[in-house]
Amino acid sequence: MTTSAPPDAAGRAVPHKERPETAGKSLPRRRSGGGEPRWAPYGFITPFFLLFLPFGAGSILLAVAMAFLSWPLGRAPSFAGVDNFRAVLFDPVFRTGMWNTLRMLVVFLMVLMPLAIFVAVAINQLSRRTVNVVQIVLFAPVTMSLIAVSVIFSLLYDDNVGLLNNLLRGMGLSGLPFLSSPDFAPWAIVAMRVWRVLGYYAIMLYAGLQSIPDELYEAAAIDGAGWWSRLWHITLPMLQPVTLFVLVAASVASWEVFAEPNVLTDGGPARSTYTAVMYIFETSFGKFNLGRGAAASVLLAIAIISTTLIVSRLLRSRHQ
Amino acid sequence: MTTSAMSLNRRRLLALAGAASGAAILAGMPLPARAQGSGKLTVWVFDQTTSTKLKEGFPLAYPGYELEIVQMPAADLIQRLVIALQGGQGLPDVVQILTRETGALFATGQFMDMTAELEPLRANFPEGILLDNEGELITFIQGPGNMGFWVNRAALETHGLAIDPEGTWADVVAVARELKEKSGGKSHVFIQPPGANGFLMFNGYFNARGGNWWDASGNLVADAELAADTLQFFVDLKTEGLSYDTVWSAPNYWDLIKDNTIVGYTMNYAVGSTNLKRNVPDQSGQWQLVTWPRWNAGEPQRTGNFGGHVYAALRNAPNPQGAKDVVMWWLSEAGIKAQFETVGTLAYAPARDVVDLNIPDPYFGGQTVLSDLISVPFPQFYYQHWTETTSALTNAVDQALSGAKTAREAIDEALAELRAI
Repeated sequence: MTTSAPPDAAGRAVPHKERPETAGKSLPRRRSGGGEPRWAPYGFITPFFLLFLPFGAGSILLAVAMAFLSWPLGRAPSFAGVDNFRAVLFDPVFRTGMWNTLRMLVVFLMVLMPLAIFVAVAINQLSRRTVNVVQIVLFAPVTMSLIAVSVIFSLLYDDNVGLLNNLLRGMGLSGLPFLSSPDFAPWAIVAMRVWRVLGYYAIMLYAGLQSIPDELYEAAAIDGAGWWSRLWHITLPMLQPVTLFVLVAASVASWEVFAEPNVLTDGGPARSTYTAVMYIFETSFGKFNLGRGAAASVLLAIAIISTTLIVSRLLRSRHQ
Repeated sequence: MTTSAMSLNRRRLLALAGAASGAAILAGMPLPARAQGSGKLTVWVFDQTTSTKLKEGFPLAYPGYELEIVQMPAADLIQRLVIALQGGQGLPDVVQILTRETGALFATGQFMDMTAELEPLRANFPEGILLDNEGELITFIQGPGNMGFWVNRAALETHGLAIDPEGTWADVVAVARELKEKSGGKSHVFIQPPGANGFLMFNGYFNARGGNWWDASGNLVADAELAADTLQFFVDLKTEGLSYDTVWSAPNYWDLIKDNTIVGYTMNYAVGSTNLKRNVPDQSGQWQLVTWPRWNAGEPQRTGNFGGHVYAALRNAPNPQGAKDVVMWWLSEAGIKAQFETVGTLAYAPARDVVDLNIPDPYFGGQTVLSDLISVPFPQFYYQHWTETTSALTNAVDQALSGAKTAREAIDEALAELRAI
């Protein structure tokens, strides 16, 4: 990237090979004897690949292969063509799971992103000492066990004795069926997920804010730009790479949501919180149909990759 | 002591052992522990209480085996079993699984045919306890979940009410209505759990009326009318405000019992008796077990099935004889005592000669709760396609209770989904 190279006296970017401080001097040679050996970088990344190839890439390939097999428990597998994919795609329960996951994902991102950016910008206004404390507090929920958090929220949301409904009744309002109504349960789960990861993503965005040069804000201030204008024309565009990462990471995590609905609602009421991963788990380890479970996994992976590409494309085109 | 005297004693001893074996066979019990088995034996379990008894008792009966018990959560056990079966290696000899899991697992044909061992004992088991697949007997339910109706008699008496032990569900509903009126809507003799637990409770009633979703071969045989009528009963309880929305695993469940919000509920022995006594000791002497009201007067009394677990041997167990010995050990005298001390309920006739099930329980006003509960059997029930069944019927129960569909529409939709499997 030419932009990363330091400018010369005339302000032109100079490729690293021609930097004045190194011109005419021979670059340090990679030695085979002392110093950093030529194979050192490969040595450092080898442990990753030793684990990734069998357990990462190998598992993915196995899952894809299994999706094309009929493999009854304890018996020999046989080639099934696209039968598993057809069965999954025509299964209304799978479609319900995908639809629920997608709608919860969209609402989750729509709530999470503005809130996370707002919190990151707010942290950025604080003094360094305060920031350290606030960061710890914000980060705490994501360090808590997901199951423990889900159990706590099931108590908060309880129809009869939950804190939220007691507060509502205390204000003279009627309680809400947070987890017992198909109209409320998906959004109660989304709210819990936002609460849990908000600080985590806000801190990532805050780190992104730190990398924006102060000069840009100073120049904008000289030009008379207000707070909102600086946010819209400097902060958000400069934050775009981190925003993209947060969006992708949050959407992948949303496609894979399982533990929260499993603990809070078991996919109910009336399948309103039943997700794609719950379908995969049930199919594989409840119905013992590993081929069909693998086919559903492949379809989910396609959905995740598609979402990632769409989000990247949208943000990049906006940037350009 | 002379040699001849010793020989005589040995002979006498052998004769006594032979007579004891013959008596045991006549009594329908398996032979006492035989010590000829040997080799390593692996048993995967999810529950500590029964497996501890197995670990202590089995080696005394079969010292030749090297028994290894591997404990893990129930869901992990199933995943590990699936992987072992699929990979064809690392199989245990015996696994402990929930009764609800048996339908789909046994249908894979990967469990040992124990017909030769269990068929001679068939007469000793009430209906619904022996489990089979394609005509092969596999195992028997331990801690069978005979449903009972547990009632706070003293709390009802304060309102001048009582449940007739010989009455019908219609009679109970009449009492529930009066209770609602007299307690100002505070007290309830029914609970309505959410989700899959709600379905399991509904299923208990359905099973008590002879209902089955599947037959032994996995064919859909559900009587839609019976199912819809039973579901309508649940819907009416909720609509009338006679049931309280909660579940026995809710953190405040026992508080609701302590403050008389809940003064009755249908449940198996483990929660209905053991957990009640543990969590609400102050109400000792106040409670009553109504074994299970009839749907219509004059019908034979039958209850519904609510769980239990089994120990089942794998067809490809590394130590097949050892696997059979583990399963059958539970029917030996030591095994019966172990079941009695852990799960309490025993649905095996010779158990009455080993343990006393007729123990008056002061918590229940001196009722012989164990024998009373077991005396009402549940009709044979088939757990085929149970994951799909739970999913479809839980959805049906949810839809009917929320009013989104009528009970009949919800059942018809669920059965259409099951028909498409």
